[in-house]
Amino acid sequence: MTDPTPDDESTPRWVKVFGIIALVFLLTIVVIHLNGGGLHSHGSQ
Amino acid sequence: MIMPPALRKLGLTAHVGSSVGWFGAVGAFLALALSGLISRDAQMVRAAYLDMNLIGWSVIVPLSLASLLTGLVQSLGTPWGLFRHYWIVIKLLITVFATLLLLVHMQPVGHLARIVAATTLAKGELAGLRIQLVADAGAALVALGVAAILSVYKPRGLTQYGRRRQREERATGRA
Repeated sequence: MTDPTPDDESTPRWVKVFGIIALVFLLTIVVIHLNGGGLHSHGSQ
Repeated sequence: MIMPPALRKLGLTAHVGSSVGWFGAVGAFLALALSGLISRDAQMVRAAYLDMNLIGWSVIVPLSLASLLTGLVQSLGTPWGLFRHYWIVIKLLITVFATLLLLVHMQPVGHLARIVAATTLAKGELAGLRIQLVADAGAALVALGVAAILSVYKPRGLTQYGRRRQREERATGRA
């Protein structure tokens, strides 16, 4: 790891785009879980 | 506390090793989950879920915890910090989320392993759960791939906390 360089930017665009993609990704996982029996059913089937 | 260079390199080696090992082991986990889902050979299905349980507990869980721990040491022991840069915060979230998801999913994997150890799994039996394991292993592979990309590219961007610390350090430097 090299040392970090100083950075004065406000929230970068890539963080916002990443956040939206991560949200869609998480929602997809939740939908798959709901269709597959739900998180609540783990270990009880 | 900033670590001396030799210790930093040792920590970085441990972090890269555990993270890359975790990524590779999840790839094997996905292959087994797919095999357990689509194979028509009952012995293959049995072996797949028994092996998933074995590599899950003996390889993937230890590597995920090692990756999380070495990542924490590496960020807190270097000027990067844990909450100063967006890419590090996002990597931390990915690692914590993937570790929790893994620990939650080791329960149904154990459940399936116990079933196949005692009896033959009929075609389509527990299909929802088996599809879910494939999807989760695939999702974990994508998430860990993103974490690896963030580690290599280190995209710029300071968090609010990071900017405040930077201002404080500059002020201290001028004084």
